[in-house]
Amino acid sequence: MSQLLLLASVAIGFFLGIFSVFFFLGVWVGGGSSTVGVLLSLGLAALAAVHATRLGLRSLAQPSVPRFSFRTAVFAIAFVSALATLLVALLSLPHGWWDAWGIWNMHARFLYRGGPDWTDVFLLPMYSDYPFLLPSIVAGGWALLHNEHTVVPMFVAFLFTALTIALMIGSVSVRRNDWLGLAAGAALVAAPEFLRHGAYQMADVPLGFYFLLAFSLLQLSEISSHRAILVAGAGLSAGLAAWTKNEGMLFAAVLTLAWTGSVLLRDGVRAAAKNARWLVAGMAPVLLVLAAFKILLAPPNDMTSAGDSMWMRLSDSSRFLVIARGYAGSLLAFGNGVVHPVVPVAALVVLAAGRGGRWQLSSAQLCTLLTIVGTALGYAIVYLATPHDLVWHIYTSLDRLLMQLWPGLVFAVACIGAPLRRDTGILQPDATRGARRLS
Amino acid sequence: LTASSAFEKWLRRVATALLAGVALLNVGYMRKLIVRLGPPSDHPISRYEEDIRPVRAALPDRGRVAYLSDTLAVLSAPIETRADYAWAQYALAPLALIPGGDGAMALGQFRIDTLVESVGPEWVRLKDFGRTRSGWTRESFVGASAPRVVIFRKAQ
Repeated sequence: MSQLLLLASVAIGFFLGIFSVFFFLGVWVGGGSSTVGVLLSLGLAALAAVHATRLGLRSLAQPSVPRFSFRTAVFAIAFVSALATLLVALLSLPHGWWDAWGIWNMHARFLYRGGPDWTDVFLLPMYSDYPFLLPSIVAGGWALLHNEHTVVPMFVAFLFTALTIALMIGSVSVRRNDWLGLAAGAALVAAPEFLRHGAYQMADVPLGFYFLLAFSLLQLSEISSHRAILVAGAGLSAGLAAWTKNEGMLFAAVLTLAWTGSVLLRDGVRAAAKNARWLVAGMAPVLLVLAAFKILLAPPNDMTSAGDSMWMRLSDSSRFLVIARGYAGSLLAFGNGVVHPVVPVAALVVLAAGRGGRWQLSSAQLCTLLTIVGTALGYAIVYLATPHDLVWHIYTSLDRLLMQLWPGLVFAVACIGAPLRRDTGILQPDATRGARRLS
Repeated sequence: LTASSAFEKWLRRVATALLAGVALLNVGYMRKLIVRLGPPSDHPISRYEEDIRPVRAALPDRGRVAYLSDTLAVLSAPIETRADYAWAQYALAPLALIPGGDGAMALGQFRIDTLVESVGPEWVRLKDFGRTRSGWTRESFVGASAPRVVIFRKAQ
């Protein structure tokens, strides 16, 4: 069951991302959306996603029979309840919230309705340089249905939120054990903010999904005989994150550095060079499309276009304090629930650490932690340089930025104490129950 | 069982109960918040899109028109006027609304009536659609105040 969740979430995640890239290229080259373009994109994306998933995860795809118990039933109720809540919220907000109608669905309307004039979107004064993963998926859905119904962006939002939960359960189950997979999924939905941003049709949930996908594939590469393909898959995920939001570009850069550094520390220079090459090879195709988009179509970003006074802002010490307060406040209020998500995370630490409290870090685990910290620090530097009112910028965005990192953080915690490949010899999770050989 | 392994087992049970409990509690809390949102047909943007339909018919389908508002600097404007711009742009896409831009026509959205009169002499009022039924408000999503929508043409 868990392997099925993993396979489905990886394949669908890749499919949506690759479809988005092909559909966007079709609109760009063909001067507007067309049925032929959307069908061609669908076919190519399905081929690529299925091929990549089969190649990378076949050694992990051992079917297992789900075991039902009282504890499983309680977690199942939590997941069903979370998805039902998400569905009700989506139905109440057919146009989503600020970023949905201000950026993503509006850009999708330009793609779908605009014909050859769709590029007028780049004349708009707000967020015109943002990448097109989400708008392309939504516009592609409309083009396929020949109907611009709000159900398409609602479905896409539901899908990405549900995929994130499925990927969390599936990847932790395969890396650790089924039981811990369920616990990690519960910890993820224990932050209501995660479901709220899903219902708001924000791009932060898809972005968080691609972050998690990259981390998962790197972790799985350590227990698979297809390491190169899984590392390249992680690179593809990072590339798709960059194609989702500008923050994804920072993530891709930090991930590359963190992965190379982590492998270097554990396995030496040659292994690091090889792994860096695999990762960059995976992200390169999407980054090339993104580079073409940024250079040939998109206007300059509002952060970079205000370059003159940027250095003054970067050296203004009073801004450090405002940002530190902003981070502290957002972390305290994080999750927006009755109980702070730090409680389920602490419970997950107890469950994940395992008997005897093994605390060991593999390359992928170190990379995951370094990337989360590095990306959060990168966001702080962006705040330092922002030309906008600093308090307003933090107030309107930091909770979403932290939410992007939330699935990755839960995953990192769930992988504490996972056995290292070199230590275990054979490739198996450290399951206290349901242990099985994986290759 | 040794004392430490019994304690560990107990600890894991507590952690499991805590995790499942918090997940259920927080999801339930989210559910309570959502019930207040109301049915989809009540969504303010759905109503705004209905109201803006005659405005859309009076403007070109695509291309560019100028956008006039109480304040033209869209990004530094108060949140209500920025939302007014974003709602109009969302409803009228792929027609591009260029704040303060030049062109033969302009769409104006105003929160303060007297500011409609203060639009420069280069613009002639073509049609006044009055206030829409809904608009962005900071306090609650179902808004009280809404923008007044006016179409202008360039003076000869």
